Amino acid sequence: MDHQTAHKLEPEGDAPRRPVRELTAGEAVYLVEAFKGLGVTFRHFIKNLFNRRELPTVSYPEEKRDYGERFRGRHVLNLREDGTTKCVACMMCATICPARCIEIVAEESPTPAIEKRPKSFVIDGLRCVMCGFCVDACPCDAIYMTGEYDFAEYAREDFLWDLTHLTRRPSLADAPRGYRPRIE
Amino acid sequence: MADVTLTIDGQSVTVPQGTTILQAAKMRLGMELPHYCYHPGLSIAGNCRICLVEVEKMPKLVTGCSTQCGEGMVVHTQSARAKEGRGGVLEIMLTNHPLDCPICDQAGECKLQDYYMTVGMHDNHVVFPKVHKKKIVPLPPHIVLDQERCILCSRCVRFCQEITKTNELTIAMRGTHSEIEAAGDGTIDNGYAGNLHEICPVGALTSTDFRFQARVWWLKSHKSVCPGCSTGCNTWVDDRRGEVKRLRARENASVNQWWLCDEGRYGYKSINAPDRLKTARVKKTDATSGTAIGEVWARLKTIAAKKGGFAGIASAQASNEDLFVFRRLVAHMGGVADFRIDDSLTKTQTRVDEILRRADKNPNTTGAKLLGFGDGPGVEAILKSAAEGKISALYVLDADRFDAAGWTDKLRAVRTKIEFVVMHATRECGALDLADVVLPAATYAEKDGTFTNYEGRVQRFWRAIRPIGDARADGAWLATICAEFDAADAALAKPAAAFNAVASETPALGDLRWEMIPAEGALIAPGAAPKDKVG
Repeated sequence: MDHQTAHKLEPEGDAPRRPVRELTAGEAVYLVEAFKGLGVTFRHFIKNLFNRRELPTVSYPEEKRDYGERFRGRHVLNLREDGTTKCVACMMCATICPARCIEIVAEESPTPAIEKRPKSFVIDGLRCVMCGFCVDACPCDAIYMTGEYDFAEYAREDFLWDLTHLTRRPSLADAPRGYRPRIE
Repeated sequence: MADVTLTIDGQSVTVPQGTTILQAAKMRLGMELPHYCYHPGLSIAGNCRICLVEVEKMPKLVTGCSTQCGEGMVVHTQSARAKEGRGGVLEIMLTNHPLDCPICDQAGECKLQDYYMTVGMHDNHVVFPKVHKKKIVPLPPHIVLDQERCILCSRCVRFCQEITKTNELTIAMRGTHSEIEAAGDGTIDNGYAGNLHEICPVGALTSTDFRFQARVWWLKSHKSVCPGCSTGCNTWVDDRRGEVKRLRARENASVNQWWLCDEGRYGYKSINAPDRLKTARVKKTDATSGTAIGEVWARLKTIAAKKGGFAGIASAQASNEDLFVFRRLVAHMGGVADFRIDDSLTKTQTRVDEILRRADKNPNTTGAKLLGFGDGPGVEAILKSAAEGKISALYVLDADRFDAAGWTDKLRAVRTKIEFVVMHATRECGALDLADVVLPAATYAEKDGTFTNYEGRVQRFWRAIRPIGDARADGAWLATICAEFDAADAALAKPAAAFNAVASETPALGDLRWEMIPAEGALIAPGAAPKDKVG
């Protein structure tokens, strides 16, 4: 909302105001109302204590929520059978990325049939908006998004997900493959 | 020659006899017919056949690049038949093309991709497997060949036959197995090999230098002039995020046509060199620009007041504008100046080969001469009078060349006799130890200016990238220093103002002004250049 529209929404000087209700005697004492509020809290406490199944919260991290198949979590780089990365550093993902969070440096691959491979591949997790465009753009089936969503780290540098992290982080063993574009 | 009149896509066009349909469409209508094998600088082969057009009363589609215009011809370039023909040709070309666009350096400026979008867009009819050929065939030192990607347009073969006349490449085998092959030891070291990957319309020939460095759609192109020799070839400087990634030839029929020599093309590396000078230096310690300039002011003013000797040594690497401001400083100091730190002047008219290269490795020898730098005593004499104690201040505009030309040791011998030495340099070099103040200079890619080439052609070059660190154009440093003597000189920091001042003071430049320098450069005093000789 720009400044001018915000200004227009302000009520005019003599616009009618909502009448203020006078407090009743009980409300004016305050303590009565405070105890009434505590009563509401206590009622929910008792209800949740005996109906744990219906709790709207989960006990993260012991308990984890299931998301849909289309959930776009942390990226993974696919590997070939021989363990090398499928990425050929074509830079399509870096080109399409609206957050400009992908940095790739290409180099000559020792295998002539592959020709090109990423020397470094870094996704800045703090910049990524998890839009999934990189997955859509990849012509080599190399980048996917997993269902992983716990990103907490202790240092900013740890959010720079490099080649090793993207291909061989320990959690990948049992991470579900997440978002991939449907090819009609 | 007589003119012929024909109709192309309903428009009447008159062209000289002998003009082909493709040229006529481009010349008169500005219409680009698809083409791979046709290149304006090479002979016409007509073998790619993508330029098919329909000509009324001709039974078959004809190739636009090789069919000459005839009187009364009626040509349709956009008819359904012509488009179908071109689409078919493209489909044949893609039969064996590997489509490794994600890997290929040409992706983004590939004519196969471009024409697929305009005339192709077909489904693949081919059911049998593609013919595989060799993928990475190095043709050292500058080229990598991919035989699979090649569409056999033969541009590279004709370039080696017609331009360099070295015949390294040929098409071997037959039919679907045809492939480009290098003769002899497989090297293409003819001094112009870089042009091969530039004229290749697909990604078959790529540059070892640029290979996998950047995707081409990330590059920004800036017009420039090669500073490698006195030919002054027109170039495009392609940069990404302020780092120059490659140079390409910029067409200029009067200078370099479509070509560029390898020395010039790969000479850009000095711009990104790791030993570039980033900060000013006073007495061998890093200083801010202000401190350094302040030191220069203070010392030069004392020396000027004492009417002590001042000598300036420039080089023909400097632009006309920078040299002009340097001349201003020399005039304020009442000293002498010269630019002949190498033997550029004697070599100006000597060619290295019949194509582009010249023996004089400086872009602006003619310009420096025009500005009167050649009338000085010469570097040898300046150092000699320094030995006699007659020089109080020495100003070296291009320490890099000064050092490379071997003057450093001679200066070291007389250094104690000179009170104050200032040097401009783009990179670290041995001579800098001898300077009281060192100022970091911008390279040609980091500033605007003009060079005057061997034949007296004044050509503009444009700033492509931001100068590294505190580096500034020589002219900008000098204008700041000159402004201490005469406030009006501060305006000369702008190349446009400096050039217009040069032009108004130099009769040879006539009424040429900065804004008026044409795209192909302005030839001053035509015919004044002596005859070439091949050395």
